[in-house]
Amino acid sequence: MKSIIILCLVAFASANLSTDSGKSLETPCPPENLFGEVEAQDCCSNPDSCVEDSVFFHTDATSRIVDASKVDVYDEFIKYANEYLTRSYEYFFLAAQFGTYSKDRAGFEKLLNGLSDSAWNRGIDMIKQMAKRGIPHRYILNKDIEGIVSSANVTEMAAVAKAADIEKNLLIKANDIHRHHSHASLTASPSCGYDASLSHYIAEEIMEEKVDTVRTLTGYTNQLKRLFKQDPKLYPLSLFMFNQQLE
Amino acid sequence: MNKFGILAAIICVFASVSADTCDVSAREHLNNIEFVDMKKGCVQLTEDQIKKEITASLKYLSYGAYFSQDNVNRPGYAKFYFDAASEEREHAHKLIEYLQMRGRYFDIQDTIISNINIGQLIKESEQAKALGLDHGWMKAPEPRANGLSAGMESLRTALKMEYAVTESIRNLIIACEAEKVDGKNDEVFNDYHFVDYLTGEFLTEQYKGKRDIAGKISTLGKMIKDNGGELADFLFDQKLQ
Repeated sequence: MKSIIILCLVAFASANLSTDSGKSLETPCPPENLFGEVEAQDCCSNPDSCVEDSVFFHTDATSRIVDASKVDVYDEFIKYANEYLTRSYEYFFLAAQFGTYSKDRAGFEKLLNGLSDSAWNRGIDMIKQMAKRGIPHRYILNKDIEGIVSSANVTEMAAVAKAADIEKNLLIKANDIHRHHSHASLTASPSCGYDASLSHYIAEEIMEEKVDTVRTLTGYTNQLKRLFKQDPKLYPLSLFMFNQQLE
Repeated sequence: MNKFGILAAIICVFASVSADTCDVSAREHLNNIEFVDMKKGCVQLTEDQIKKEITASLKYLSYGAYFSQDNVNRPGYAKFYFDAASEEREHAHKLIEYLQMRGRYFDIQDTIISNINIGQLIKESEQAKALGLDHGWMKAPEPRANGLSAGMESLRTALKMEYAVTESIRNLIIACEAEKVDGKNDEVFNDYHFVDYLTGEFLTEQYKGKRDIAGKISTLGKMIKDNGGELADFLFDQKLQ
């Protein structure tokens, strides 16, 4: 009995398959306007060409919303993503200094390593975002980023202030790029850079997190500054306590 | 410089006064205690290895970006290379942690670690010749003239890159197990622990990684034979996802 049921199911499935494949041969036209109306019409008048999908051979499909010649409207975003990779390694070396026996500040090391990991992951995420939008990635950098080197000997307060500075600059740049991609007149061409999706990504994925980071780091910087100014003699002890808080 | 930059600069001036004092007092208590024994040549080569790991991480990142593109569309390969990029970065981190443990991170004169041009490393990673290897396959037109696929060419270059990194680690081991001691012509220092660490941790990982990539090349190669690279790549990409 079981084998009869299985046989019936197989027969039913193959009937369905043949119907499906028949249907797909009957309606072979690709979506109109994907590669131009003319080619779509040619396809309809000559179904054989559609079976071979020859209509698709002319060019790659792209998720980009601007012409290939105008793709440089996204250059600032690419440079911005690359800046995250650069800053990630800058934090990486900055953090490492606090893991040496002479500094021995595990809390500061943890804070800066966290910033490094976060910048690295965000940089990769932005590269993925570019790929989603049809923007090819290149290792281009802004002039002010090209000269970044692994840092020389810095103090705890200088490191935190530097991190606050970097994060605040990243926030300011995010604002600028957001403005570039979120303002246009109704009739403006996409090649001017208007891109609601990218603006949304910047606002939701980057700005929200960055605002919190900047606030935390500026708070730490001011706290350390007050501890130093109020009683410089106690500052080494203050640093010890502050480091413990960060651990 | 924005307003905050100036603020930070002012803070740095305050901080440098006291922190210098801290460092000086820390060193005072360590005076005349010779607890750091890792030698300078070995440290410098390790720092150089850290640079190589970073360059490899950035190169793998560009592979990931390539395979993520809409006109390449190989999410499996992209994931494989993005993960490889983070792994190389982790290697650099492990070497730094080791130098910290041995008291040799940022501790010697003529250190290169304090002056690595990160911007330059990023820009060099764009070049087709990074790490002395040809990464030009990314620019090759499709379909590929040699009957291969982008996936196959990437794996072949990745294996060469892993081989180069492995050789570099081997040379580091050779240097660190017999470094001449300053001022003593016939005395060499064998850094047993570092050599053991490099052999046990790093080389094991390198050989496992190379075996993995070689296996992938072998499997993909068998799929390409008599079938064509594109379909083989398409199917193999799904295995990598």
